[in-house]
Amino acid sequence: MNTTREPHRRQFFARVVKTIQAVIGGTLGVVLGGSIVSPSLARREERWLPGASLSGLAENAPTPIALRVVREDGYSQIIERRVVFLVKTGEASVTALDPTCTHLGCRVSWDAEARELRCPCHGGVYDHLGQVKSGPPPAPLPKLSTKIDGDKVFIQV
Amino acid sequence: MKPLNDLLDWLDSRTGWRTGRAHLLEEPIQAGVGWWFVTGSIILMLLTVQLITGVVLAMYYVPSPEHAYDSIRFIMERITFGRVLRGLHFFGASFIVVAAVIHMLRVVALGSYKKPREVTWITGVVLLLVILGFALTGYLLPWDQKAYWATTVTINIARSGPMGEYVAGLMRGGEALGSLTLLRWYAVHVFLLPASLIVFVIAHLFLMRRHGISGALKPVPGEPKPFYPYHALKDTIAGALVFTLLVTFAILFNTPLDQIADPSDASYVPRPEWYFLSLFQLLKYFPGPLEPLATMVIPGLVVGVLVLLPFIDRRPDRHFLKRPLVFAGFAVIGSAIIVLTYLGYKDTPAHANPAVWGPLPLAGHEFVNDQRCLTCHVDGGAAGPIAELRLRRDPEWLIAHVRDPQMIAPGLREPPLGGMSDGQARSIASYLKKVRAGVPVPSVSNETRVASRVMGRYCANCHMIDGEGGSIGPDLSHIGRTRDAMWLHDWITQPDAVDPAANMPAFGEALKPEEMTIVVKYLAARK
Repeated sequence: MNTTREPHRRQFFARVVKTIQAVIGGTLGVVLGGSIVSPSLARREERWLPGASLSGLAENAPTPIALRVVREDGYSQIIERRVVFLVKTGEASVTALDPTCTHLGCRVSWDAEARELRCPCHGGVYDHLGQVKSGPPPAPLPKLSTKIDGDKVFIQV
Repeated sequence: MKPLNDLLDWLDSRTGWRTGRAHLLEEPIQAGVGWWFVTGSIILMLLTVQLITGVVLAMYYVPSPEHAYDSIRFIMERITFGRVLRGLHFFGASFIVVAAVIHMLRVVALGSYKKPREVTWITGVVLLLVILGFALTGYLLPWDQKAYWATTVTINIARSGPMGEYVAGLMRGGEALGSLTLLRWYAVHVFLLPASLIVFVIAHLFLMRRHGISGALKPVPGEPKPFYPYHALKDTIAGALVFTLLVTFAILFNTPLDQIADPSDASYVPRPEWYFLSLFQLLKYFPGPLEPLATMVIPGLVVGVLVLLPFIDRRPDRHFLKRPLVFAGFAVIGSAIIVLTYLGYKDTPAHANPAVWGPLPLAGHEFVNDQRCLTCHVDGGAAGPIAELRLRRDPEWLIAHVRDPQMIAPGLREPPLGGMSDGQARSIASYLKKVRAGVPVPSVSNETRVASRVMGRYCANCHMIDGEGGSIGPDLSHIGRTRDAMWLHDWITQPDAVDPAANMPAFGEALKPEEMTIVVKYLAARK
């Protein structure tokens, strides 16, 4: 055995062992890492749900519409009932408002006499199009996209 | 890098990890320890893969009959690399069984079990049993047809032994195979067996180090060299080859998943995984009261001989030609296992391909597009679109719902007019099972569609076809073998005109002439 070359051989072997193990570990890392991380990166798909018929909506007054939204929850499905305010703003235009108060997330309701949307928690007040009139809310009520097909109003959730 | 080195130095001064690592890696290995001695490391590598893929699978898997199947499908279809992940774990199991047997044969061939390594050998036999235990408990977990029925067979085998009923009850966790069974097999698979595995692997490795590697039969001249990196290189190269093969399997081959377990489906013929096929085949030769011979005595003897091998063969000769009895014994047992496995394999009926749709699911697919269903089952309607439902009700609920929706969901809405026949309800249940298994609807000819609709609407009320339907009348799956089109036409139109004692109702008026023509042709073609 050539004793002067042995340390080099040894070092080379060690490097090969480490490289191969790194490749195996890397392959496993990709598979396992992908499997662990992928659900956290999944995006909720948006879909159009039929909300109401246009002719049935009152002009410039929010009408609450209950939507049945199927949400993926891992391997199973959750059915959420979600309320959306629809406001007819013209012959063929409708605004959909999410009733979640932008202050701390309570649900606003429509006061037909005062013609305002009120939050029961901290006194936030919005007008019929969701603009803040008074109280703590920092922003108007979020709007959802709508489209009209014939007499049907579709809402994107 | 200085801060890192300082940290490692500090850690070394407190723990002595460098000495520990040196002790683990620098074991002197005598010259002549060649490639045959990599088999153990391969098993260790495969076990590590099983352990970590198992942990990630456990992040998604739910051990309950309602959710297990869906959670496995979720892993396979919705998780990035999920199919490969399950593939690694599934094929890894087979790889380990093969690797363990090769390792054992190497130990036997080179007589490595002899004094002073008897206890090392015994821990190895225990590890083999632990590995088989993993395999056995693992395949109930997906809760598909194969899982359910193969486990039914396993538990029935346990019943044939002494105190069989008690053992079987313990394995089931109750009267019948169900959620308690699944939970306890899961607990054994993910807690008890891994713990035993780790304990026995450590014991096995400790004893291997204590006595040193048995090495070549005749001492090979040369200096001993440290395990790392010299022998570690062989281990790593061999491990990398096996790992590459495993990844290839996991990517190229589909990991099987049958339809969801259905305890009421008696037509399913269970077959075990290939490594239990020999035992399964053995059962066939010992019918009735002799059965315990095949289920308990013979396997028990084989395990007993394995455990006692170092005490039976006590002479120091390691060359296998000087140990003809041991050699012959292993050759006999080995060939018996191979032959039985082959016979068992040959005897396996062609598995019903889940991608093939029988007439009932096809009919069900037609029926759900019925206006009655679409009253509610639409996007944004009172209930979700049927093809997107994740059905978790049992078939009986479903059939009741289809036949009378008002009874199941009272007050929700006006019930759609008119319930459906039992056959129609069964067709829909069968269709939803296909949907749940994620099998795409095939495109079929218009004639097949019409025939399926008639089968589902009328025939399936009483007749079985392709394993589904009622059981009042004879099975129609192969009716074309015994009856021709003319006879079928006359019989279906007016049975008592063919045979006055017939108790089947006449369908001559219920079916339109073109429907009758198509159904008769369809049935006559079922050979």
